[in-house]
Amino acid sequence: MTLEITQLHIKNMVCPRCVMVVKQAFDQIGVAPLSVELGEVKLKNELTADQQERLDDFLQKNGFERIDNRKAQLLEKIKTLVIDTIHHRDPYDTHIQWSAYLSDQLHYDYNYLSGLFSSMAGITLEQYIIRQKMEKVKEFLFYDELSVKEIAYKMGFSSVAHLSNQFKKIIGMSPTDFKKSIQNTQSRKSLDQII
Amino acid sequence: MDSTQINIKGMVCSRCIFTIRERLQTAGMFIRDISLGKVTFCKPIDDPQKSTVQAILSGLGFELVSDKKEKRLDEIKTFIHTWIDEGSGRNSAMTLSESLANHLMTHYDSLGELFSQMEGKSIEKYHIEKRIEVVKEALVYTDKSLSQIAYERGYSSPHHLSAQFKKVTGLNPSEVRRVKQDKSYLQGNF
Repeated sequence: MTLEITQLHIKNMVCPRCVMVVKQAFDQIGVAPLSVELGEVKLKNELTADQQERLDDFLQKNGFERIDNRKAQLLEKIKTLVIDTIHHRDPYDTHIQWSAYLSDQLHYDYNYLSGLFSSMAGITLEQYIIRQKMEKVKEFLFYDELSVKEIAYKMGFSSVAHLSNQFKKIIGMSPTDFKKSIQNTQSRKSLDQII
Repeated sequence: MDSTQINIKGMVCSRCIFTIRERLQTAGMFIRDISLGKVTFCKPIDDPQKSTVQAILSGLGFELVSDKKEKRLDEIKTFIHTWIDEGSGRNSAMTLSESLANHLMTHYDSLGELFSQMEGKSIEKYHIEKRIEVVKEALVYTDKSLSQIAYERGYSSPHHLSAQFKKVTGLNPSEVRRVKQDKSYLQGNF
């Protein structure tokens, strides 16, 4: 007997709560998945048309989307890997060589990955990584526990100046100014809204 | 004005907001506003509610930001109390700020900022007030002379002590000492 496993690909999953919500979605349609991970659900059986419709509905309400296009799946995989590596690994590996790391993990040539990313996402993969990193920096600034120097070190920047420069370019103000403006603005972004 | 804001670590997307809102509301909390990293409640929350919130959040994989800050604040206070017990630098070549920064391995500036922000007064002011309290106790409960107390508590002179005492309490040390005499007078009567 061969064991058939169905894989579903889901867009916009970025954290453990997303996993929880997606699990709830499957609860609702009465299906027990084999596993639910960021961006990927494994099932024993194919879903029926009715189940699929109800699932899509629930997912959409929560800001997710099921994707079946192969290229879109790969794009989502790249994003998930970047988010997971920057936001959910502690300690963050500061010596990471992104090109080697991504092609290693996803088994594609980096040129292909970055080309696909640019054409589909509208920004380069490099830009995307920088923006995600800056969002992490924002998060650290928001907690107000580490100095900018400590954050720079933690995120693998060669100097505070390097971090400040990049931050300014993307966020439009210096880290210190951002820290001051935190309390009165909705300054942070949802990770799946970053593009 | 009587709302409470808490800062939460680990919120990154709209599902985090959704899940937290749902759980807190199920637990009977009234939420005014929720965004990435912070929740504002309609009413101030008391201690039992706070531990409920804490339990819910840690169950979901979050953490309160203030936990670390409060711990830091406690560390600073504990150090100041020990510092006073040991005579406020009487036998030390270092100042309070230097040895505090040394002990906690953090710049004094950032410790000072955190302390003022959470406590509403500076570290130095807190130290002075606590030290004067100890002096007050010594005046009321012991027979030690003012110069002896000044020496033991690390003041450069009795004058320095008197001046600071007057500034903090509004009374002269001798007036407080009189309280002690009145007390023993009363006790003698009974």
